[in-house]
Amino acid sequence: MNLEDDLRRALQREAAPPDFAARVLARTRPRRAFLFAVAAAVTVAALVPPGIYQYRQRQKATEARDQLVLALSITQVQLLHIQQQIQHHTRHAQ
Amino acid sequence: MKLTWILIAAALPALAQQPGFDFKSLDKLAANAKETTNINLEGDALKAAAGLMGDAFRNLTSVNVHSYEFAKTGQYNEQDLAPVRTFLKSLNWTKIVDVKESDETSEIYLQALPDGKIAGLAVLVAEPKEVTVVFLQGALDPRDLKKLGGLGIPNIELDHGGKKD
Repeated sequence: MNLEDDLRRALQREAAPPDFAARVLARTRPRRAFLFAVAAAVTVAALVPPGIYQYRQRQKATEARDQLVLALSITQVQLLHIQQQIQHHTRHAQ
Repeated sequence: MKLTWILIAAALPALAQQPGFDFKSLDKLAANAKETTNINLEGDALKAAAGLMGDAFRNLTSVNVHSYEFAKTGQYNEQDLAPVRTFLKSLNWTKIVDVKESDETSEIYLQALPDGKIAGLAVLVAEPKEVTVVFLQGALDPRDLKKLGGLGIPNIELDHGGKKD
């Protein structure tokens, strides 16, 4: 026996066991599922909070707008009331 | 020297913004009121609200509207309104309207800017069963009040009188 024969034997192509592919897939599947779950979680974490934040900001702005409209309408009603008083006084003075 | 600059820098915002009216001084009114409406808007909330209403009210810095409704007459007295008048007097607001009737007082105060705009509008209306105090602060064009008409609020001609649609 010489070194060349030893190497040839050692490097000789061997057929994979019949369940080799199934075993490899079984090992990789859970990892792929885990990675998919992590990717989904990262995507959700990246997209949802800004969306919620924007929604809340919009909601707050709308509530504040309603309050501002009410405040300005009260102001207008009071100004209108004062204006009518002035007109009434002016008419009586003439 | 550094300390002087720090003190000046710290004092600048306070000088730039006039103090607002302390509505707690009207607690006496609130205590006897059947119904109160208190609206206080400033800062980011006011900016966001004004932003949704177009350009007209973008320059408002604070909006305070307090309304007190009483079940019957005689549940407040003139002295209860003194804090408002004292505050406006202390800041040299100009009283442009003062209507006194037997049982009613209406006053409008302005804080004028040199360019014809107003820096503040205050309204005090005291009826037998209702008191309303309004403080609008920030650069406001009187004509902007007319723009409220588009929001379903009665439109007013401030200069010529008369109600418009």
